[in-house]
Amino acid sequence: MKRILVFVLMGLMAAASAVGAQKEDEAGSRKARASQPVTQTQLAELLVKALGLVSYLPNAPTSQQMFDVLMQNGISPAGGWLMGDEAVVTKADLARVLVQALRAVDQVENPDDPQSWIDTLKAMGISLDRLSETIQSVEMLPDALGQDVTLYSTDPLIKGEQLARDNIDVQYSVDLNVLARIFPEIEMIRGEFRPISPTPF
Amino acid sequence: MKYIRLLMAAGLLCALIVPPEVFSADTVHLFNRLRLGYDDNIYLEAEEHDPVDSFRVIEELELLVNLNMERMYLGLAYRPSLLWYTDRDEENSDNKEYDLLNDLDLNFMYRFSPTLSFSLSDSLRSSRLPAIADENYIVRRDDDNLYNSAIATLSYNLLPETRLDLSGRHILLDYEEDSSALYGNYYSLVGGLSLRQQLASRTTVFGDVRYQTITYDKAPEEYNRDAEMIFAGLGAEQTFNPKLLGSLRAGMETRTYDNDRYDDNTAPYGEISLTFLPSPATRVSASASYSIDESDAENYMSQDRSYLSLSLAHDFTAKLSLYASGAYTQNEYDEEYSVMPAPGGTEKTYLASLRLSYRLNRINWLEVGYQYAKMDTELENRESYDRNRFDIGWKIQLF
Repeated sequence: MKRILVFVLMGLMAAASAVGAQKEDEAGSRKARASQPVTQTQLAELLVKALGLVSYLPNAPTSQQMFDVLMQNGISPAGGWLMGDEAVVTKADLARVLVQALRAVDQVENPDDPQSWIDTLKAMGISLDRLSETIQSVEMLPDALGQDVTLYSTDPLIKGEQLARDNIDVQYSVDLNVLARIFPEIEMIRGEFRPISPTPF
Repeated sequence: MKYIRLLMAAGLLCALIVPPEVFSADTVHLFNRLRLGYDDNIYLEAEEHDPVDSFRVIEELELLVNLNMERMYLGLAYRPSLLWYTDRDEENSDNKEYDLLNDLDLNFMYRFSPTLSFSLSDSLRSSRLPAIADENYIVRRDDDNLYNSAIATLSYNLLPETRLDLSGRHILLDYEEDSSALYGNYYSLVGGLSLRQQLASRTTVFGDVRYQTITYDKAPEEYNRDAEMIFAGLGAEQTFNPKLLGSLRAGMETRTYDNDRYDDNTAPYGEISLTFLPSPATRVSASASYSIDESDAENYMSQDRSYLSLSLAHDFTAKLSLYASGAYTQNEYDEEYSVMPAPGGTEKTYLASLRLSYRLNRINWLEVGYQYAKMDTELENRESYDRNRFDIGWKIQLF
């Protein structure tokens, strides 16, 4: 038990100390990347982190797992998410996914016109000139969704242990996922005197 | 609770180390959620036993930290929940009127170079669940417990399209009560290697191997359920078109029990998931899986689990959204793998849930929810039941 706590503590401490060193590296790194085009995979990773969707994904998620959780939250370029260096983000793509992430789709006058998405973003006072600055306009999604991969996964590195034996802890959203903790808190075994358990026992 | 206090102390320590300028209004958020609900079967009793119903109150805070920097990401969520039932008899509930749950989730990522990165995830669940007794039987014993799952992965890009993942996981369950700990405490270790190859802009294929051990460190010899498992499989992720994305994974598992009474159990496993966007306002997800799994019923070494789920999210307007989900689980228990002699059987679980969410303004939401659960069981000492739950909730983003 103590080992686990030490493990968690070390993770927290490593994260904290890394933040300090991180600040210094960033300015130079940004300059170096400024001239390179941004791929959809890179944009998806930025969005997943900025929107707080990492908690819906397995550890070390793949590009398509990140595309998946963004799609589940209604965030997708007009032509869909693609991998590879050829899938470069255009201003129209960026405007579209940012407006979707900001939950401002209803403000787009003509959703079929890419310029209309760009105009909507401009009207909100958000510039598309620098991605690193533009992405800062995005906040964590308060109504985020994500299919819980721990419920259907057969991978022992992903699947969740049952938090109750009656197997009804399936939900879709973060809200209901919280309820999933509450859903099966009681079980009834007639004639036996034993605890509810997340164990396979 | 001492573990929670320790983690809170760690959080405070981190707050002292991390430069204050990285914390801003965008990185830390606090939500409060209050739900008032009705449950028509709080003890999960069969209909012939006249189930006890109750109103209930759920109060929940959620603190979210999202530190997003160029090379590093740190996400932290702490969620304490308090559940209070109006009609749960105090005398039959260990003189405790409420349940208390604490959830802590940590996600950390660090990119050492364009080809090498590290990810760490930890989920801690602490439950204070008092004993509950009905007139005729005990529903559960004093059940305070702590569950932790920590996963770390080192990812290396051998080529731009080829990624190798080396992962390790530690799972721990720890009961405070000695009598519960005797049969319930366990730890599990998992090691894994995955190789992924991107074939085109829409397709990735992968192969993986896993090794897992599970150890019930306090169980007596006659209840020895320790096991070793080896998994090997292949899979693919495919973007079919801009509106449809799916993944498939399948392989074989061999489970070897420490107790010589039981033969090795070898079986296939598989899973599939799909995400579909039929319209800009509608999202549909579906998943299905089959595997040998840890047993839900205590008298069996394992179970064959089949699982199906379907979820729908639809935005009627920018403020009004509907979420619906349904799931079906079928667990098969084999007589050959019972701990104490007992016949095998099937257990089926059905779940449906609906939630309507209305965003009043930027920081306030109103929610209405309904959940239906039903279990049909053939096992001895288990009882079929169904349950309906309704709730209304108010969620506010405090900052």
